[in-house]
Amino acid sequence: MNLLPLIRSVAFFALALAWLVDLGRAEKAGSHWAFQPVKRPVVPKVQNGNWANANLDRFILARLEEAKLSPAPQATRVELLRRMSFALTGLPPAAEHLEKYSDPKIELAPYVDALLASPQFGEHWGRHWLDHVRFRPFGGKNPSNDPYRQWVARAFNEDMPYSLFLKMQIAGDLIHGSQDGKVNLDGMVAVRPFSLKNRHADQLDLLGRTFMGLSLFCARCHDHKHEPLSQHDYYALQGLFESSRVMELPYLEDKAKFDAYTKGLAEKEANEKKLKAAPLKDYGRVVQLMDLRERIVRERAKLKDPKEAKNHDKIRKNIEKLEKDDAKRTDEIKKRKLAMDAPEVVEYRRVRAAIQKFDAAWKDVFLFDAFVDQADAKMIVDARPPKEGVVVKPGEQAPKGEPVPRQFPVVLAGNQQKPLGEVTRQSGRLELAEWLTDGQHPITARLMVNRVWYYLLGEGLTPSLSNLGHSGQPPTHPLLLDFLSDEFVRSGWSMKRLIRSIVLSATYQQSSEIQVNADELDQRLKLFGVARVKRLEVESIWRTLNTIEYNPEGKEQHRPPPFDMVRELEGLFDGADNSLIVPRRAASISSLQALFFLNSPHIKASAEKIAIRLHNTQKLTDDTARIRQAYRWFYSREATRNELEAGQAFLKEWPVNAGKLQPNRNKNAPEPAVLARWQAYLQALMATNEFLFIH
Amino acid sequence: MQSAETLITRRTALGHAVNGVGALTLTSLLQNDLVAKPGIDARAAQFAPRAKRVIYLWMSGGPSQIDTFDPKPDINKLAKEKPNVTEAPFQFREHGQSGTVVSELLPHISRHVDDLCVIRSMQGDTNTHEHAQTFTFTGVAQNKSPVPTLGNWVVYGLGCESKNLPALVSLGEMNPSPAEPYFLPAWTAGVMLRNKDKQKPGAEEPVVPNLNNAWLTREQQQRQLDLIQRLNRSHLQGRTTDDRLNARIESFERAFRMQVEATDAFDISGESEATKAAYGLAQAETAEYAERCMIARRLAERDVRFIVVPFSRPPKSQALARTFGWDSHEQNNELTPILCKRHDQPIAALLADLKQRGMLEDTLVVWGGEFGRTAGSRVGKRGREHNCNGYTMFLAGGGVKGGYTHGETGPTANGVVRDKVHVHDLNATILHLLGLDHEKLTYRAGGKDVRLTDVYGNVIKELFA
Repeated sequence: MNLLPLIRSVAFFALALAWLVDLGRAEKAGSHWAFQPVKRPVVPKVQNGNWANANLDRFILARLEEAKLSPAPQATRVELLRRMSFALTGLPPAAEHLEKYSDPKIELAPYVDALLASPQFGEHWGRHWLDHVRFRPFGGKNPSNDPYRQWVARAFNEDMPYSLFLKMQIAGDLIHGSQDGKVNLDGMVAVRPFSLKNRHADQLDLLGRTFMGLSLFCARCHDHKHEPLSQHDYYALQGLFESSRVMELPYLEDKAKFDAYTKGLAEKEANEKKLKAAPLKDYGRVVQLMDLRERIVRERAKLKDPKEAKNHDKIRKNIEKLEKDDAKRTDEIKKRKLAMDAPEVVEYRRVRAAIQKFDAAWKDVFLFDAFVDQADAKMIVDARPPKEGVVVKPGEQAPKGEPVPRQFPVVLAGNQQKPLGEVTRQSGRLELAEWLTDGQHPITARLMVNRVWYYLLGEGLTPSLSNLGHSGQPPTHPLLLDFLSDEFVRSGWSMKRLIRSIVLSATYQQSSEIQVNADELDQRLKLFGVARVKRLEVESIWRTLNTIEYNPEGKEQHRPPPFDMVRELEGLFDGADNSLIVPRRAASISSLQALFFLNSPHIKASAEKIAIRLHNTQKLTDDTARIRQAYRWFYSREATRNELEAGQAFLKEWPVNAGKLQPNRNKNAPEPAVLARWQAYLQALMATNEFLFIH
Repeated sequence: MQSAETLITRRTALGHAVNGVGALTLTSLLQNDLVAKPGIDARAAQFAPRAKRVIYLWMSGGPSQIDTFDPKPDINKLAKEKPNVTEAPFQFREHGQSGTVVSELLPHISRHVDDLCVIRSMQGDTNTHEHAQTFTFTGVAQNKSPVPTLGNWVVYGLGCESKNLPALVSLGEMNPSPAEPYFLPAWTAGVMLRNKDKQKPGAEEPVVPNLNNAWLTREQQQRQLDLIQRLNRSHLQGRTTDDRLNARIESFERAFRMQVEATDAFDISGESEATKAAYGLAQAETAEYAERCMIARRLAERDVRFIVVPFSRPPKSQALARTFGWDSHEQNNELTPILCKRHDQPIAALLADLKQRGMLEDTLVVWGGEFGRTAGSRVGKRGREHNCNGYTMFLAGGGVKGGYTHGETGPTANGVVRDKVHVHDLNATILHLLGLDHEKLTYRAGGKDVRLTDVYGNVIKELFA
């Protein structure tokens, strides 16, 4: 029986089915919400329109009304002042702001503007950004001097458009019109690899999660299991980074040198290709044999050198070995009928010498390439001719159809895109940055808007903060996310305007307290119908203490907190791990934290400094006044009568143990017994929940 | 004034409610639910437990089952034929009365095989370290998922037995961290100690930092704590939405008591010389894990519910083993012996110590990592890759069958051929041994009842004594 027709038709059917399945998958992949262009939605109608401060509130309210819920009442003025100040600057409200804005009838907009204009805004929001780029300070010790960190803080303070902020980090070196004709390198983070060994993997992981909201890294060894990203897409992007090269700054600032290097590198790579191709390829054997013979000559010469006398045996043995090798190779060459004096041999040697010359001339450049590390702040720039292809880690499978032409992921940029090699003579990073920030890209704005929402409200509109792909979670308020993203792009990508519009909304200003059952509370948290209580981030803890410690009336300099203290706090209070991308931090509570507040010498020192400040502030003449002042510093409010009495009683009844008192080294300090009881009291105030939680 | 422990909170009091109860009044809920949700105090299990506590010897990185508990002689034949299969040179033989087979790399543990319940047929869901680690402890195969760990669930189910120590302690850093319990009540949070080598170099570092106060007397400290808690309780008035406020109040009480209790619990200087020697405290290569294991036993004696003892990282002198740990992609046959040596003697001593003190009966010891390894590697004939499809873990004490080997993997450990134990099954089994029904240990979050084992998990009764 002839089975062939049957097999054929089954095979055809299977193929057709596979094709259909593929088609269906692609269709499904393309229809994913975050791959659709942002569409400005119609602002929904609501019943309780009076509640809304802004359009964004109507999106929240519509969903609440749908669930038959009304918004939580507005938070108290003190709560709002604290909430906004910590959210925007990471610090408690300043004294003059407390005075000026404590009356609930006074408008909050000027307050918010003042916070946005303070330099602490950039420091605080810059830190959020640093979490996304596994920031490691330059030189290790003092992170405040790091040029990248300073650049980020400045970008936030100057309200650099997010589009430019992003571009500078992917392709700052390729953007023209920078200051002094120098290459823009301060922001270059996307291409600063965390480790040299995994350079491209690091670059693509950061690019994927932080800038594109996609888990690109999964597609390195195989097509992505959950996203419509192929291994081909991965290597098409990797080509951009392969076409860039690590360089030391001086080479970038000297244009002539830079050009000479680039030209030489192109020649070198062409030469390397020549050696590997016919007709020169085979003559490598001959050249190697010639090298070998030269070496034998050198070794023989050693036998005549009296300095080598004691090594003669060793050298003779070596020569014997080399001669054996010589014989073997000579045979091989005869077998292959390669002439020792062929013109190809001369050419081979000439080409090889050219390569060696280039390597020697630019030795230090290669050295940098080999030892580069984010901490060394070396940068990558387009200092090599664009390269198509793949560098695969040993043992990993290369994608089919290499070399892979450089291009953007097909699911976002389509099948019709021109490969970057046809568009530009550079690496393509600039084109990548421009594509991401052209205002049409479906992910860029959504990704950032969602993060800003998370930092302000305590949860994102989608909780997957760096993954807007299929494997992320869909947004709870897709229309609102699109509305805000559209506004964001229209405003010229202004971070400050985005932040301002959210904190001035009625949604943001709801109370964190509402007496409802657990299910309703969960639902309200999901629908943003109640505010979230926040635990202070670790930076806010030490920055707040440090700010309160400092006496602007005194003569002493404002010093940063001890490095040891910061490091210990970061471990205890969920600081960001600088080897990881950290889109979201934990906010844990533990007895180890309590032990820190009870027993750490750092806390003791901090409380003492604040006690000294209280005793050196002119207008604070008695303990009552000092207690009042401490409440304003720690809790941004006036102490109640009960609290004043409790404080006075605590101080009065404090059993001073004379044995443990040490004479004061600080000449401004009050007498030891007074300092000791104030230290104990202030330490208690900073250990409370009211200090650590923002309502 | 109410004491911190009896305060009614949203999570503890208003917990179990039906969906869509917006219209119900607060009082009716309070009446219905006061009994429904447990607090931090210890309580009886759902049914008679076989184990009261867990010591989890956490071998993150993925130890090679092929070179420890699951001999695969075929691999050596294959290694001669195939370029990417790595030889398995270590000898196996039967030990104890049970004849349980263990490799020569674990001579100390081999002496306790009659107490071991070796599961050769473990199976997970993912071959990525971080995802698999998170999966092993949380049942969710996605790293950094906002979900609590097995330890948090156990504390939630049974409460905190010790008044003076945390119920859940990890004696070193681990992923996932048990320090944040996410949707579970905040009091189920664990304490994760930092690795010693990350602390300040030079000076001898305490295991628990800031445990003692250098400048206040106990009486002064008591006054200070009273003030802190008084302020905290007045701050708490009318605040019910976030139970971390309560958890932090409780954490100060516990920290205060820990100052006395933990100083003793974490101090191994009083252990006898014989005990120290048995654990291997004197040898450099075993000292760190020996200390952790001794502390684990001391915590177990003091009613700490769930103790994780993370693997001990080799010192700088063993650079390769330090970098890779159990993760033997390259040089498996050099790395695995080093790691076995670091952990073998301390673990064996812990088993012996628990047994001698009569504690092994109600202490469940769990040993294992997030997955095992394959026969060969992508890079030459040197290492082994990740393998979640058939790997080994062992249990001891706490009501499990000693001298028993469960399940079987294929000829190259490539998948399970008999008696599969999935990670969900293991977690269900661990909970069962503690007297908790994994299907009934639920917590209502986001409108649904969530559990550790999702909708999976079978209790493997064959493992029970």
